[in-house]
Amino acid sequence: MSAVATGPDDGQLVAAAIAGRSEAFGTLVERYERAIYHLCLRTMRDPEEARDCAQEAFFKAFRSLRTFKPGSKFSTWIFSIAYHACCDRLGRRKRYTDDELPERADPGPGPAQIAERNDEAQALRAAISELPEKYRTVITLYHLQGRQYEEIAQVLDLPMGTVKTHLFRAKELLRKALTTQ
Amino acid sequence: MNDDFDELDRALFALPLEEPPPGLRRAILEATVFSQARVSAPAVRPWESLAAGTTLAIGAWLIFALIAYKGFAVAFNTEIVAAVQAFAAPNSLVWLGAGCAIAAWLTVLGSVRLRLPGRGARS
Repeated sequence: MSAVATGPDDGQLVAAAIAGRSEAFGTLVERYERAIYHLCLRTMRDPEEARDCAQEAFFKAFRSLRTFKPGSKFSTWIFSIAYHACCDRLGRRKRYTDDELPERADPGPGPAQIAERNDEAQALRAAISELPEKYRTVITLYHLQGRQYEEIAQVLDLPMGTVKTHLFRAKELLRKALTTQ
Repeated sequence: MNDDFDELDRALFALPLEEPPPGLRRAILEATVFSQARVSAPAVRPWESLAAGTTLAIGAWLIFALIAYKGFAVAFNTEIVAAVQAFAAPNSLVWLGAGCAIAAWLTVLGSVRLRLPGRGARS
């Protein structure tokens, strides 16, 4: 889902926001709020934490607007900030609560519970939620957000080959999870 | 890397995004642009500083002019004594007492809800 820009493009809005026009940043928030929240929700798997991460991402972006390089993609930049905010939070969660490792599958609902869900979308969401964090994020960015390989590689700070591999494995796991229902 | 995930791809692309919680945008804007507007707004605007400075200067000049006036001390004493006497006059005290009583009565009346007899109270 690339942000459909009606009116000024993202670069112009960033320039206007830097110049002190608060409504320009408001428009950017309006354009990316949903996508950023979605990425955070997929990564964190907790609506409250996703909300906090999304807010934190926009806050950090706002504070460092002047470091945004003109000509680069705002979406890549803000996605990267959001992803790193999620990673920080996952790291803290691991340190303080000894909760899940980001790379590990969640103790969420099992295949039997997923199978009970008749709704295909819900089943697919549940299957995505079962994926390890690195696959979940790639599949979220690629399929749900419509990002390109190169952009995903920039957001996640990974080589493009790794992104492709993660995507392939994510799809394999998804298909396996959905066919076992 | 060939794959045959067409059906899965279609399902994924058709999957709608979750709605962000209500109030998220407001919270983001409160933490960013509105917060900045609050911080960056100066406590005192330049014209306010200028007005306050001018008022202070005029006040200081008036006080200095009054003190420098030869008959100031006598006139000041006379006026102060007259004001105290006027305040302590019986009429002034009566009016002052009446005003305080009315203010107290209105305060008490305002804190008590008047109850008028209704139809339901009869049955």
